[in-house]
Amino acid sequence: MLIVEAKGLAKRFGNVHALRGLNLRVGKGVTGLVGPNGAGKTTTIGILLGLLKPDGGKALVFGFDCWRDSFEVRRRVRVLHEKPAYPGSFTGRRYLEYVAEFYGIRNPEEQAVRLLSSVGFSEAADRKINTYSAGMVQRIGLAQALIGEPELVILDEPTANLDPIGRAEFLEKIRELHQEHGISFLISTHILGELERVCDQVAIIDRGVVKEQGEIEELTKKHQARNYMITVSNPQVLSREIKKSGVAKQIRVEGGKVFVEIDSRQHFQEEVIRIIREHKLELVAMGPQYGMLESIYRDVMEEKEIA
Amino acid sequence: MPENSSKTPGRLSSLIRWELEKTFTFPTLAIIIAVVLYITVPASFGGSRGPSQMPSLVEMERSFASSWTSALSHNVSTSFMYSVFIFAALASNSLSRDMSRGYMRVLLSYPIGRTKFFLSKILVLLFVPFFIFMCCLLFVAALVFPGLFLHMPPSSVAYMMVVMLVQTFFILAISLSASLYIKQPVMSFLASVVTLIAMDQISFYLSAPYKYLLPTMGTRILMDYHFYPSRFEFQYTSGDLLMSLFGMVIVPAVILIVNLVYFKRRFQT
Repeated sequence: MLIVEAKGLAKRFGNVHALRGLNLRVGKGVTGLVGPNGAGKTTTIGILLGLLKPDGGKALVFGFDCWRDSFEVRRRVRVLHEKPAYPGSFTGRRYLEYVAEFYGIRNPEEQAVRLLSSVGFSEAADRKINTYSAGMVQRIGLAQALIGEPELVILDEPTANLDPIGRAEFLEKIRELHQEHGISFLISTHILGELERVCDQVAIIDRGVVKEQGEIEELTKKHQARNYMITVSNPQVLSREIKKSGVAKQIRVEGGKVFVEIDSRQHFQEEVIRIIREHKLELVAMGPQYGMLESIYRDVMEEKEIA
Repeated sequence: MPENSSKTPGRLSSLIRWELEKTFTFPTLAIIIAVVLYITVPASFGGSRGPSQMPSLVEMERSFASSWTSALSHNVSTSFMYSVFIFAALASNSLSRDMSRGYMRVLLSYPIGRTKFFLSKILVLLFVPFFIFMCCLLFVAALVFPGLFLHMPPSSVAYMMVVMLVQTFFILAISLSASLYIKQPVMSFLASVVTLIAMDQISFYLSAPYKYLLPTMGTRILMDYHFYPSRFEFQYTSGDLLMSLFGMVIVPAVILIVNLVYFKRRFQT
């Protein structure tokens, strides 16, 4: 079932074309919206929330038009904006109580307490927001995005202000919320390694269009890894022999490892194994240089460059 | 829909409370206290004589009463000037600051109607002059109690307050427009102040009845109408009064409606 559907979205800011006919389909689950800075991710989110009017095309969330029925969309969707700002004179608890009121929730005080404890924030709840660190603001942001059992939560660069442990905890929380409460997430980021741990689907966006989208599993089959990293007892020999065999597009030795870029995976693995056996090399490790999602992303972006 | 959401989302009462809590904090509260002291202390202590020579209760009453009436009738320009600075600052703090700091983007992502959002800001800003007025009354009442208002009927006090609100309404219409289009607090504050002072200066060069469209002259005629009826009859026509009401009430109302339409077109309902 589709929860977000955008067809031919276009948006211009002066002479800058932020979106150029973007088509996006998001089903239930955790979806990653990935792309380089300036790809159009935040603009897409702004349109989905009815904060920006598209110049062309149409966006639907739960079947509601994002511009015409934006109030209905905002009742069902929560968001954690990129670099969110909350009034510094409020305490975290008071802020959440207000947000709960805005959503028409019956017991805002209870809801605030529950959310504060769920994001591990009870101790600092009565401090003013202007005394919070960036990570604490982000946690309050996550808490306000979970108010009232939402159906879809949009997170725009959610881990940008967090330290590595905070990032891991944050992503774990997302996975848990999806699995236990069935909340769908649309996560916009350019940090692919993190997304891979939580996402079921991904949409790759660049220069205002979606280049590729679908289930990560399907995309992995379609876009096989092109960059490999091999650790052997004698990397110089392996590098020389791979070059001779002609299966690699580019090859380099760095830090005792052989980095290979290939055009096609066909014959590559067999060829590497043959060289290792022939030259009696010891194979320590061999695998894609990048993560699954990063490999897909690189493949899609390289296809674009070739085109 | 979430099961535990039973109330109507984005209620105006919640937004007003939010806005009040956000507005009545430092530095706004400091500005308000300063204004209250500025208006009431000279009145309470007999102006230039200072607190060492406390005036009698009757003197204090007269002094306080004349402070307000003179501020709004004899010396409307002064009253207008400090109102311009205070309310231009409050309007830019309320709207431009919300936009430039990103509070508005977050707030408008909640199920909040844009009309209610805009209305809550105007109502809270209009509450400020009311609050200042009440604080002044209470402050002086605390010092010279009892029998503070005996020489001035409550209707006159209410009338002064209404004129103050009307003047503020005009200032806010201009300041909110500047805040909405400029979106940068300091720049919108400066633009509001310059525009309003320029309007005030222009009003002196215009001929009747058009000069009464703008605040200083418009406020003066409204005050004279109630407090100095003989002067009113001698100096003004009913057309002048109508022009004043049009300029001070209808024009700002139209400006605010245009702003609301623009705001809704930008951010949807």
